Amino acid sequence: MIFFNYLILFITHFVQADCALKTDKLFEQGKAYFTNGQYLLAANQLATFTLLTCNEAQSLEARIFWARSLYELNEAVEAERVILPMAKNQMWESKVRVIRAWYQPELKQSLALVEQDRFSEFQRQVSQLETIKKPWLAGTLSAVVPGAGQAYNGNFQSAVLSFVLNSIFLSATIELHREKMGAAALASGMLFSVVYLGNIMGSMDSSHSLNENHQRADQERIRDQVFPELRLPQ
Amino acid sequence: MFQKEIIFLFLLLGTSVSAAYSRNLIDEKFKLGRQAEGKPLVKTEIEKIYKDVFARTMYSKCQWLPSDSQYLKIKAKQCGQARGSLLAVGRFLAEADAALISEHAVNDNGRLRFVNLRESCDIF
Repeated sequence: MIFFNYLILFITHFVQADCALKTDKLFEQGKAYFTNGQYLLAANQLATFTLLTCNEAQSLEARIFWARSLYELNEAVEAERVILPMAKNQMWESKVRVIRAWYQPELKQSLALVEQDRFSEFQRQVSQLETIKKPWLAGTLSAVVPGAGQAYNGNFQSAVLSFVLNSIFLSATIELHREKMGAAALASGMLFSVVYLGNIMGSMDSSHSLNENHQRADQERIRDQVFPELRLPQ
Repeated sequence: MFQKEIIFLFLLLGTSVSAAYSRNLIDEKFKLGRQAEGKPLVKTEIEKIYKDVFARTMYSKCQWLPSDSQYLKIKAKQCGQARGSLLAVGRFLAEADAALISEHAVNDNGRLRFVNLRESCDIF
């Protein structure tokens, strides 16, 4: 009898060790894909891992990254299906709440009430980050001289293109009006208006994009500090 | 005299140095498809004529991802038709400096394309 018990123990131990050996690589690779931003591969790898693994704790951790990959791919419904069952577990409930709030803007406000301190701390720190361009200044410059806002952003090629296109349409409108070609002048004027307003909006949008690109690394650092639940795997 | 220096100066001013890091094209296209419920990847008739006839004839290749027409559809849905259209015109004008403005770059069959799609509609 004792011999059989030892035999069963030995076999169980052997099977578990073999299983861990095979699946650990899947988990590591899945996390590496997630960190590299290859979310489709990460989701696939981590889903396979949760099916095959014998380690319950690792399986739950993998589900978190699986769901996060799906959120990153804008597959919110699928992500919810993966992550929601974990909310019943007391150990994971808080982490699940933060992840859902982070990835779903419509939940952010309601869940922010529960995690109000951390969310306001995050927003406070982000608002203090340095911006490199002022969108209102770029817009004003582009309104005064088309292309000037783009030049202020450091986008010299688009500045030249904006200036040239606006000049062509404006001069064509004026010339057609002088020649008493009302309909053509109106059409040219409309085109000018679109290009002129587009030039203003474009310069402001570019300023926002440049600021976002500049702040991205710092925002990720703050996010990791305030919400350790959202830290990338090491 | 100073010919080389002048040429170098023009090249320097005209060159966009990418600040972007690279990402996976498949993921980016999947995300864009989901973002507008699969609609922007379906071409309309006008787009087909432009992309399959004019763009090919002129060898015009959009550096942006999503392309301007896809961007217009997504932005019109996000921010309304008027604001979306103007943002698309602004983006069209900024294409020459795509590398500077983009969030990250992707390799599309050997061609670099620059991803740029802000979630927010805020202008100020």
